[in-house]
Amino acid sequence: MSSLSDDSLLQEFVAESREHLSSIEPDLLILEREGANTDQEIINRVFRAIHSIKGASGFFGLIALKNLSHTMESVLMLIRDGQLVPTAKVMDPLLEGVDKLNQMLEDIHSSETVTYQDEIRRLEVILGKPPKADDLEATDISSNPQGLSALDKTTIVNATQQGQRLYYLNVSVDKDLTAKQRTPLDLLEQLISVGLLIDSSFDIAMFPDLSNCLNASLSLSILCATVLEKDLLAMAVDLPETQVQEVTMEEVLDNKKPTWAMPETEKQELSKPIVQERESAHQETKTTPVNHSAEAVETIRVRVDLLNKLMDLAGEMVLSRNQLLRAFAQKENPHNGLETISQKINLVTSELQEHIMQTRMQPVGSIFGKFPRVVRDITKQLGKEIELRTSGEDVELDKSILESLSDPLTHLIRNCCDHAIESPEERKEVGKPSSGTIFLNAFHEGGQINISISDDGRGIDHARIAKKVLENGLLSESDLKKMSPQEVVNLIFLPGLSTAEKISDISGRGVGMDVVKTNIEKVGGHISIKTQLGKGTTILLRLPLTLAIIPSLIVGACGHRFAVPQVNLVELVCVKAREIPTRIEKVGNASVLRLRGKLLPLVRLADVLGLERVFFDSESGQYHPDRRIEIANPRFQENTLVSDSETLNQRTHYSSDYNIMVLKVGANQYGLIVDELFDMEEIVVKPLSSFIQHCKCYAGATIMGDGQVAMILDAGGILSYTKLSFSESQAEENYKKQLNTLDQTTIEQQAMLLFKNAPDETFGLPLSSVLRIEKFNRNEIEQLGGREFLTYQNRSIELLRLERYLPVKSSLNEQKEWFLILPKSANGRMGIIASQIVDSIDMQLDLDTTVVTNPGVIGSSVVQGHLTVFINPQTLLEKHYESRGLVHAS
Amino acid sequence: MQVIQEKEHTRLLAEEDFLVTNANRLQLELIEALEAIDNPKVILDLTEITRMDSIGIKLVLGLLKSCEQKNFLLEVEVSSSSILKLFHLCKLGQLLNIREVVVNE
Repeated sequence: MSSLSDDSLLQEFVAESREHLSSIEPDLLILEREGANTDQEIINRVFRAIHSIKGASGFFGLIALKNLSHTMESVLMLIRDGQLVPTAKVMDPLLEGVDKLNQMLEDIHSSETVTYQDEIRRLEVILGKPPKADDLEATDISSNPQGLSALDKTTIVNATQQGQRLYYLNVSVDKDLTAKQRTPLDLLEQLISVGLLIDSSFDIAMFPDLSNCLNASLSLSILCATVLEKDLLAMAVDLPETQVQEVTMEEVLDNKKPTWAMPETEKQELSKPIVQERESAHQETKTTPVNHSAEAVETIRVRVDLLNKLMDLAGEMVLSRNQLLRAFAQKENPHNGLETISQKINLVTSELQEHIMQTRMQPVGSIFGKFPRVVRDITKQLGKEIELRTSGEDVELDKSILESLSDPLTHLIRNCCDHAIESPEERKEVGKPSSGTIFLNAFHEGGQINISISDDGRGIDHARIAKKVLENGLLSESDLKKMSPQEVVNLIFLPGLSTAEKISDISGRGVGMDVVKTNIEKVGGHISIKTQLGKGTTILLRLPLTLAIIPSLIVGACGHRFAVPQVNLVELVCVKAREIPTRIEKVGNASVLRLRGKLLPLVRLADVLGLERVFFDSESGQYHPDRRIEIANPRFQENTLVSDSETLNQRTHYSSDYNIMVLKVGANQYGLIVDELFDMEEIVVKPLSSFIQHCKCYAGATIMGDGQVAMILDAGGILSYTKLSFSESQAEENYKKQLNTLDQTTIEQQAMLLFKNAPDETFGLPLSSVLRIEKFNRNEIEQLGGREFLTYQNRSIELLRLERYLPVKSSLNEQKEWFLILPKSANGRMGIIASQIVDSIDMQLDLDTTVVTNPGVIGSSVVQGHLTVFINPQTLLEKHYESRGLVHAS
Repeated sequence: MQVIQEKEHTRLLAEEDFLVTNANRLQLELIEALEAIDNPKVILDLTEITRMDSIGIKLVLGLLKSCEQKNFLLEVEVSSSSILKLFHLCKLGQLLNIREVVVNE
């Protein structure tokens, strides 16, 4: 077994000590709050943590750390023994001590240069003794006198309670170390890596003086605690089992040491001079490989870089698995049995990936734990009364996400304390309890982790934000007027905006919230704010569970493939080509889809990425350029030479259907139009190269099953790139108002066809209900039994005159060329005669249903200065069929 | 091994690592130095060395025994972190006065 280097041991000590310090800080705050009533276990926990730091820092010769933790331990001992009541006055120096220890641990190699005398003096005031200058400067690192100290005894009891076993090891310096070319340090480091070194001592009672010391036998006796079984421990430290003896806690506490029987072989070997035999020992020594049976230990420390590497490898394995599955799927007759193996690999890989992911998961409680201290300190500083309540500490998040959360959360909590929670007087004036409350809560929802920070403070005043935005020149007044109150509140994420009247140490420099937002979005999260003036504010952070392997939908656009993380995906909507005019509308410059009464802004992926739009023609098996200009009104570019009938066919062909992914970014949703939809796949996120890292539409890249690279789309990035405006709620309200004021027959904003029958009467019908419009000559009309027909493309189309079913003027006039409007519902067998096609316009109608009330009429409205009657072609057709004694079968 | 007579103590300055390879020579030098000392306080200065194996520890413990026989007070000065760690883990501080000395390089 190779011994660990000094530095890795030291780093392990630093990591452990940091953990100890982060765990004792909340406990110290409980001590302060509960005073003499504090649970003894909490006091013991703090005591043990500080003791561990002291012990280990002593081992490493870190005098500053040792001295400070020693003094802190003395104070804690008084508290533990009931001689000192933990009040704020006692806790302050202890908390300052914790800060100082943290500072020393930040750069352990410079820890000796950190001044800590002030902290010690304050602690010694509590201990009731004047500080002795000598003690502070002393570098005497001699340990306690022989025998187990009280603290060692505490360690022993603690280790036993944790299920560790106690062992005495008897190490022969010559046989177990020199002969094996091991130093005592090698052995002790091996031991520390598998257990806890409690005590060690050389037996020098019979040791000779200088003249005979080299060949004299010397033994080192070690007391340690470990979870390992005896044989495994012996193996781990490369000692014969006979030299490892398990003892009970009572035996150790009674100072009963085992008696060791020295084997005859050893006695013979020991009679030989060791030093002279050095060379031969070097050649003969067999180093027994030591097996650190990982399965025997419950927890081990694993380096994060190792975990990262494992994660990468698991990712590669997932990719290879995907490739394998794809290869099998493509092969028609796979070799017998291979398919089963492939399925097995599939299962094992999924499980492996899941477990490796779990190794990176850590409870959010590890960062929540530091906030009580933050709140306490700010509360004291500002003279406010604030209580922090936390829940959901057990919710787990990927380590990397958790680490990046620490700073933003701290900032948000500090903001809450500084801005949101009012002073006790202010709170009393508005009828609130003098003490404010901040709720910090973590919970799972929809495959994501949510962390909410709520307060019962003053809320965010959107008018004040608007004023600050104007003052700072961040936006113009006209921009602000267009915004809803919620949108104005969201401006607090603008860089350079702070509503604090005074800049304090805590906040108010306006560099915070935008950084918070950026940091949260960097890890694929989203931040949103809900606030009620005078009542409080809730800030919600939505975070992905992990960043490494994510389920995603693979989509295609312009012949390229892209991955869309499932967490962003709400639903998929296919808008048939023929439905485009009725379902997709134009509002301002944006196209929107009306989806179950909501307006969904639409963007084309190809346009966002600047790709030439194409569509796949399954009949020809080729990609063709997509010549549609707008989403809502898919008319072709003007200079495109396409015949009318070709145009109409292309517009209604299924290849013109829109595949819309409804994506959500926080509270907002938008539709992203793509060409093709493939499978859901678990993709392994690969970071982007530095060359394209600035492209905000991409969150990363992945390798597909066929080895091709696919870019991962960043739903939030696309949204900010396209600068879509979300006044959705406003639009929604308007829409609902409209619904309330108008009859059910109201036609919403859509493309309308305006035409005339008699020259002075205008009619309208939704363009979406029209299959096509044909021009014909009056002479082409054929009569049969009082019915009129037109032959068109070898097919007879019956003509419908409006005047027969509606009280309108006759279209009989002398003009030669007429128009035939073919409604979709007539299936090309019947058409409405029109003398003139006036226009096709997008409009939102305010229909009057009282002026013209005949069946077949939806209502009337004034369009372009003329009264226009809007007809329902379906009803007219039904009336026509009824008059003929037929049933409309379409 | 340099023997430096100082006002209140005698300093034994070790110039090479305390290893099995040079243990015999070091043993002789230490015996020789100790015989010449009449100062009751002896400082074994290990600040210039960085390595010590188990035979090195035997030498230190042998020196301790010899000092005890002569009623000398032995103190050991160490700079190397690995030697310091070795002394701490073996709890040699229970037997000797060990002082950590920071050497400015």
